[in-house]
Amino acid sequence: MAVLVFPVVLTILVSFNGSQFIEFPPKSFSMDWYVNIAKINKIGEATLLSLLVASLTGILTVLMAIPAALAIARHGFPAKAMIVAFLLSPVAVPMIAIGIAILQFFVWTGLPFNWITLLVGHVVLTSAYPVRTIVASLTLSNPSLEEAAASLGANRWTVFRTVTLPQITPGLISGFLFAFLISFDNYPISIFLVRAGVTTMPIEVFNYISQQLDPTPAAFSTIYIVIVSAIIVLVERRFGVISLSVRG
Amino acid sequence: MAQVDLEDVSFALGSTEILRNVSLTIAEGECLALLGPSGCGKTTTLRCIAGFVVPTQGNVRIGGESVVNLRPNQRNVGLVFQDYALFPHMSVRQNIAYGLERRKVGKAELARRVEEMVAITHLDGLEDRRPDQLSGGQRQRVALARALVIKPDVLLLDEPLGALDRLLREQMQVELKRIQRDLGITTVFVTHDQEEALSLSDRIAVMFDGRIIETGTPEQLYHTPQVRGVMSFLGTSNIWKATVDAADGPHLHLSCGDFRVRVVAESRHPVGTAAQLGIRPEHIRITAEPPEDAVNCISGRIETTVYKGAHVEIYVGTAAGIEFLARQPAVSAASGATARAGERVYLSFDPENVLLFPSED
Repeated sequence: MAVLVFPVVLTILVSFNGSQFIEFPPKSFSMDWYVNIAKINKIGEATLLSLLVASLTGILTVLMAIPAALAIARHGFPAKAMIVAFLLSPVAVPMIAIGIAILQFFVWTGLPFNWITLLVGHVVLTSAYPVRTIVASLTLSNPSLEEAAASLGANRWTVFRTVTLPQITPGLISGFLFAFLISFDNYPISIFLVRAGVTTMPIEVFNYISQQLDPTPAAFSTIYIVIVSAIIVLVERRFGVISLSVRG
Repeated sequence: MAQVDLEDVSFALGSTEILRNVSLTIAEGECLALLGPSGCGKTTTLRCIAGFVVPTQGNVRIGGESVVNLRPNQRNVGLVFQDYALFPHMSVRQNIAYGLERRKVGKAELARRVEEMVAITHLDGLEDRRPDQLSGGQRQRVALARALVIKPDVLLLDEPLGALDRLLREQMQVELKRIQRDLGITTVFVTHDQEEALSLSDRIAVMFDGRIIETGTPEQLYHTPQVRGVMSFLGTSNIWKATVDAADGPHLHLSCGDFRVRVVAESRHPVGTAAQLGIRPEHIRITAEPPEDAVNCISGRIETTVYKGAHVEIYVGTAAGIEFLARQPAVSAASGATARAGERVYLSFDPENVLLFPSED
């Protein structure tokens, strides 16, 4: 627990430090670094692109994960174990390896590098997470609900829309959150896929750190931590999704 | 409401035969119980009628029309699941209205029919609750209401009372029977509980190992089962092996060692062949002295007595090496004539109460 919390506390404390350097314990209070965030190269533009890519990554992976999860949780099919392992494999492969592979792929296809390239890379990287969370929520929901709906006259699509979908909402939300968050602060894959003019938040923050040692990135991270925590708390209150992904 | 016919239905999963040539007719308005031990294929039979299982062979007809090519949502069947399968994200009213919405029933008509069903199943005042705010018995009634409101051709119940405790189960048995009678709906229910089958149904089909081994009214199956398996599965019974010694008019004489039994034999069993005899515990008299006129009588020693409230079960070991179970009203116990373990007693029973089965059965 202490190991989990320590970096967060440290980051927050350092962000309010008056000193030029990252030091601990902080000696004076200052909000300067929050003002200074604006000085990170292209930070606004990069954050917007990160948000766009992360949102689309979340939506696309969830949409792709629904049929995959339904097949895994509800049907038997040949070589099921192998296909499931394959679908979940991005979790097990080092991100750098995925990054290089995707880079090679795009170079080979000759497609231009733009934010869509980035999006494809992030979808590959995160696709496994929604599959897991949706399979988990399908496993928790009772398959006879779907049969009950069918026996009452609902066709397959209506069964999905009126019964299955409400049952797996927590899985959809937590799957989206996982994909969104992983995409939003991803560095190792993005670094291979960005080109001049297309840049993401983590890359610009990292570039800043490699040139300056002041606590501006700590200030940025503090804002990030506050927003993400708020989202997680709200979503957990409403859907109880974190516990779901742990169980999954 | 409609008649349901299963014609020579078989179902196999890979090389495992789950149903073997099941043929069954459920008359319009009849309540039939599919009774059998778990894994006998009774639920699969129900799912064949509902459309979740497509038979590998044979035909299923509802109201005379073949439904084997219809998907579950194209059949007009009301299904109550063992775990009720109520939609947890919908209120009681929404659950009941679900089937009507699928049928595009108009708003006013829908509200009227839901209300009517709420009244029939005594769910008044619970319409806006969610399933997790209901008791087991209430959930059962919602499931029933949801299945009945669509006016199905046939009502299918899978272990309908299995999830309820004993007291509630007895209440729901009465209620279920009342609703089924009032609506006159063709009903098939699956149960492994013989008491439930006996008290709820007009007719019982006993299943074993994917086959229907006997069909009949509860009285027929309890008093005059044709198959030994039915006798041992329905209620408690004493069954022992014997050899046919002689035929004498309407009677057959059989023996098991020194123990001779006379039975009223309807079926023909040649002299010298082996057979099995069965008698219900309540048909055995226990006396301290051998009764003068008794034809079938054997002496023994009481091994155990089990007090069951309304009656006492008495286990008696006999000289023939057979242990008999006899059942006596508990009033006699209160009046002082208590049978005690170790006492020497005589067991006797009438020829017409003894059932005779072929030995290979």
